[in-house]
Amino acid sequence: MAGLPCRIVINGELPERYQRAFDGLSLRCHPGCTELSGTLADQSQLQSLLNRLFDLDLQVRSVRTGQECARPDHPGGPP
Amino acid sequence: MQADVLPILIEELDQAARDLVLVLEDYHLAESTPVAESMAFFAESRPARLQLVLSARSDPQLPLGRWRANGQLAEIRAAQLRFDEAEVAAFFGRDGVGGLSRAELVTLTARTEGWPAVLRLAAIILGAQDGTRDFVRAFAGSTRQVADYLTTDVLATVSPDLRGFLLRTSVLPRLCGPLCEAVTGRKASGAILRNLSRAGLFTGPVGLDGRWYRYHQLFAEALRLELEVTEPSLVPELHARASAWFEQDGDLESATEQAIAAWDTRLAGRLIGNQLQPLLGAGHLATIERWLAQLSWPQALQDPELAAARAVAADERSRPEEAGRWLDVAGLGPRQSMTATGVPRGFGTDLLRSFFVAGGVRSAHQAALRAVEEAPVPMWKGAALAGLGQCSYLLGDHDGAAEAARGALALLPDDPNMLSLASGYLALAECHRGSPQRAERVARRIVNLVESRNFALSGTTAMCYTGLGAALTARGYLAEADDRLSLAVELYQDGSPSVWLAHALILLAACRHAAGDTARARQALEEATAILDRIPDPGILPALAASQQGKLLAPTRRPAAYGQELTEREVVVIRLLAAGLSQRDIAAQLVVSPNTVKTQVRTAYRKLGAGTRVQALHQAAKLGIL
Repeated sequence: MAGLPCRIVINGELPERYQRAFDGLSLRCHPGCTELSGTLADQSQLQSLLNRLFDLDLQVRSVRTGQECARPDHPGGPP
Repeated sequence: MQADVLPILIEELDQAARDLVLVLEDYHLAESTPVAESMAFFAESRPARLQLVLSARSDPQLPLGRWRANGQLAEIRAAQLRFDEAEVAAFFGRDGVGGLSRAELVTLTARTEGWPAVLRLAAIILGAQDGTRDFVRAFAGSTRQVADYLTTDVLATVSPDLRGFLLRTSVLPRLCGPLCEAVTGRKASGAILRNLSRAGLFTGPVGLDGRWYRYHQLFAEALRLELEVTEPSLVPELHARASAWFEQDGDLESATEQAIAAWDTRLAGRLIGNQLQPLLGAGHLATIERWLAQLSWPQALQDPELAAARAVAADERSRPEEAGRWLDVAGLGPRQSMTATGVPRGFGTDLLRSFFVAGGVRSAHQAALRAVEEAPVPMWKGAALAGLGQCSYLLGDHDGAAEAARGALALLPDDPNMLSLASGYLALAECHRGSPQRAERVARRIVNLVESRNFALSGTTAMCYTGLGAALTARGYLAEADDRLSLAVELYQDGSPSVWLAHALILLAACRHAAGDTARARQALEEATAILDRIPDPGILPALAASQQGKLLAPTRRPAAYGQELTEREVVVIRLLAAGLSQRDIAAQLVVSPNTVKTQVRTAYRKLGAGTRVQALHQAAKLGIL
């Protein structure tokens, strides 16, 4: 099973303790935003993750899945 | 909902003859596809004087585009809800926060995007400290996510004691004094909550009676996360305490939810086991299924108590194979150990096997015999006898079935499900023994009980309809028989093909055949046979189906004594006469005029060479028509 690689960027920098809030994803802060990345099981999990972000009143800037995630980061700025 | 309830509601609202506004707040919490369909229907059919107002955090699944285009919709969205600078200033002013410069106001408004919940946080912080300028500058300069930034700051301003209280109570879906006291050990928790609410610290009242409060979602989430970081091992313990309190308070549903959150398999098993019958009786199968779905960790999947609940849920959905598999798990463990409902495990599993006919009729029959042997008290013996009645009937032992079912009815408490099972099979057995009148009486009593109580109809309660349908067919009341049997078929069709569905279809075929509707009779029988082909060990049902098949294929025209054949219709009429119906009744059953029946009867008599009803029936019997 390949799983679904994904990368989501939200507005605002989230502190350390949010690392535990999102199963299987790691957080990385960039100026003014936070990037959550990792591999999800499938679209269902992605859907419930997006719902959770909504519940936490976090504003989603971008969502990338699959091959698009492999694109390199721009250092020092939001991807 | 749409077909029955809403039209009545709309009618009554219409009669109110004044302007009404219906407000649904937090509508997103209630929405699911069936709800959305009902709501769309209601919105479009409501009386003109009723205005519908919905508030929701996300766009509801309603035809908004169409309503917008038709000018029927007024929307107030985020852009309008946001505060502008003037509103921010007024908001702060009301909270006693003043002295902000124009630039500071602009910064705050921009940074918070005019979002009231977050501004409230800012107001609290601003109100609590003197260095307004510093705060605004730091806040403006930070790139941290806004809500989290401010929540952290607010938390920093409260005492460690209160902080501990907030963190621990954040796991609760709603709060009241006694509950918080049970969870945190803090006396006078009620006063704390009242003060928090008055200070506007993210605590708002729930409902109108002043007992319950809740934390604003953002705040609660931040608190929960903080708790998980600082004291993770405490979280299950807090949920367990909450579960115990809810149970004592009588709120079993919340207690169950807390038990699940506490990852306490045994506690959840006990609570669910005790709520199965009441919830199923009220039609809340979905609640049970939701809980069982949440209990998905390995230990929970192997727990015998929960397995029994899963078996019952599967049976309610007419998934007998799945039910059988779960029963195997439920039966693990010593036969004499007690289950949550207070019966020995071996007995409980055997009882369910006899109800679900798990693993085929013969195996279920063995289980039924064991259950009757081992029943701990009369009430449970009644239940076991109901199961035995079912299994005996399906094995073809009509006398045994009648005896067991009668025994069950004598011992059973007022439980519509079990009563339905017992009386359904008693009725069927009595039909076979040639007493359709008694059968009808037995079945109708329970049908009336079920209907008068508005009991949730399901596969389990359908048995009484099957029994009644068979009795009515034998007595010639074919129209009602068809109705009742069709309802039973509909109830069984909700799930996967089963012995009960096949049985109801066979009886429906017999009913239609008796009414002369051969084509639809054949259809029903074909469906039944297809199902029976796929079920291992369905008892006598295939034989019943074959016998019915034989009747369908047999020529309906029989030579009469004087060489003139009776038509198909005439045969039907003679049979109904034999069943004891009057000509008027027959006309009603066949939906024709009494004159038509009169003519058919006269012709039939003539063809049979009979002058009276008795002679005609005698002749017909001799010819093998009956």
